[in-house]
Amino acid sequence: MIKPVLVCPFNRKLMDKIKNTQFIITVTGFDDIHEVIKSVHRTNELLGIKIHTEKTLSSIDFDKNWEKFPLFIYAENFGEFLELFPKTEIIRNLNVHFFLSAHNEFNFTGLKILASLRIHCGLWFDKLPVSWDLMNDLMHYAIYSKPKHAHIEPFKWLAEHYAVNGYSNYDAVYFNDPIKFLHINSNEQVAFTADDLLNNKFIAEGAENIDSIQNLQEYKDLSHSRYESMLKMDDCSFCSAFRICLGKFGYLKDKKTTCQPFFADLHDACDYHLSGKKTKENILWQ
Amino acid sequence: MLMPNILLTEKCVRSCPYCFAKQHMEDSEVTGITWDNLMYIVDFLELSGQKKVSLLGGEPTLHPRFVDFTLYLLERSFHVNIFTSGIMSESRLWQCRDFLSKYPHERLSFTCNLNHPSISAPAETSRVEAFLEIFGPVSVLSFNVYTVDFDMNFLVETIDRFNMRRHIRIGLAHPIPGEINRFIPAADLKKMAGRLSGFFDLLEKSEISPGFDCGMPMCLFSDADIGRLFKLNQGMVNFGCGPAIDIGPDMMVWACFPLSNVNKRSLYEFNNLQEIDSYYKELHASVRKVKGGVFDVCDDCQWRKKELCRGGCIAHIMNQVPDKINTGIIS
Repeated sequence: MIKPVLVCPFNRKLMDKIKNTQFIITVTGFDDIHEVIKSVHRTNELLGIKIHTEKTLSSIDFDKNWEKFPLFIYAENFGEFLELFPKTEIIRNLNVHFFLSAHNEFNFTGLKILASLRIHCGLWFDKLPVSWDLMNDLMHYAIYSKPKHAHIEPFKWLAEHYAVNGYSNYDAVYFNDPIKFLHINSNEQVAFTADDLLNNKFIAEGAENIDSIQNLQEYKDLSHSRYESMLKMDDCSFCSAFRICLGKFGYLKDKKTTCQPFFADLHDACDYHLSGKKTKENILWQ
Repeated sequence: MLMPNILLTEKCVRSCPYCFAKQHMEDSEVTGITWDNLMYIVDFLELSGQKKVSLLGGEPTLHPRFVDFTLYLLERSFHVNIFTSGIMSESRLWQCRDFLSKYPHERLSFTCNLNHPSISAPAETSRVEAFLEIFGPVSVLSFNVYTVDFDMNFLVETIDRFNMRRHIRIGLAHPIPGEINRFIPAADLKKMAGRLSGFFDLLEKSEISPGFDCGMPMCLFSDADIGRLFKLNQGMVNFGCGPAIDIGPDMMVWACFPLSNVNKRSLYEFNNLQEIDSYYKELHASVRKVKGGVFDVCDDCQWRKKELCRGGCIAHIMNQVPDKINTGIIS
């Protein structure tokens, strides 16, 4: 079994307690970044720092000293291009991925701007309404458009990791795929996802249990329960694109005019991307 | 060489008597280009291997995102040329100064269209001067000739005063087929050329090259004048007329402003710039089959056949034989 990466808030005590583990640290303030970098125990590996900010992306004061670790910045809004423009050079020198809320319509344009300037970026979702037309447009740009541009997630991840005969969970992009990541809070309570952690849906307690967590019955039970929606007679069970969506928009009422047509198109795009990869593999150079 | 134009907005602060974009602007329902459309065009041009682009309008600086768009294009490694009147609000001028003034003319240049002071309001003139104070060294003057008694002295004075690039883009005001605007009729073109050659001494003394935009027939000038033009322009004399390729905010394309109300197509119909160019070149060729050029002698002219001259502006030709041309060539 692969040892999961732990996603946890910045807490020195917790990090000192857990050894030989890969971490993603979540912080809410940019001032914490330096502290995180200094504090990570030598026996642990910091894979990245995830920052959720209420600032607009363009108003962030980027620091060239952040270049040591990958940063995953989640912002609500793109902001103003003129404010961002003077910072593009420093951004390119950082290992940074920007995520913008799918709730704000201009963010879709903002992501195209970022990607076309070769800055890796993506959408993040909450339960707020999204424009499926804009989603589709951005997805087409991310997967089909020919001019070189940076990745736009989760579309690029899905296209690259699409499994023809299996499930593809793009939550990996958000460190939310329970097969690869587990979430732990300062009280050492462990959950499958960030949402589960917020909603007190824990699978274990105590940092000492991390190494053996995959053997716990609670872990196995919850792992299996995640795909129970396929057993229900609801819209998701009949959706051709379930394999790449895994019911993430199961809460929507009218799926036939919202998520289903979009994910069907995304499914086609993944097939298209895969066929392109196969063609490249089959080139015979003589 | 193709250098497509992107119209950022249809709005303009001026009301020039010769304006050949007027009809297009009056008909347009779209006021300004969007980020998404601009990015589509930029990708389209990049895929076509085109890294030079002009921004125009209306007055492009009126677009609220003018500076954003210009910086974006520069960041995408395009050479950007901006056609402007130089008339803009103080706040826009300061914004341009803060963000755009650091670029060398190899990356960002301006073509400032200047009217004679006699038809410019004092407030306009002072705005243009404020613009040229900042951007003069990366700007070329453009002058549209629409009467035969034009003056060029003020252009030379302006170039000297603002340390501008020593070139004048000379455009002929062209007719808009089926519409009314001020332009020089074919019968007066020779008189216009005579007036123009009268300024050659001044231009030579001032080391300023007079470059023709398009639609200037070669036979307007004597061999001696052509020789002087050759020398003044370091061998680059243009007697051509061909598709310029304008792309509107609504993603429609057309060959050039005088032809903006005929054969407009959607950009989405084409895969690359070369396809658009071929489409309009074929259209031009079919018009020139009906009439070779603006003068009757153009049909048998050896210089036109050798492609040293195109026979003048195609809009003139279309104005001269509208009945013949309207039978199927223009849609």
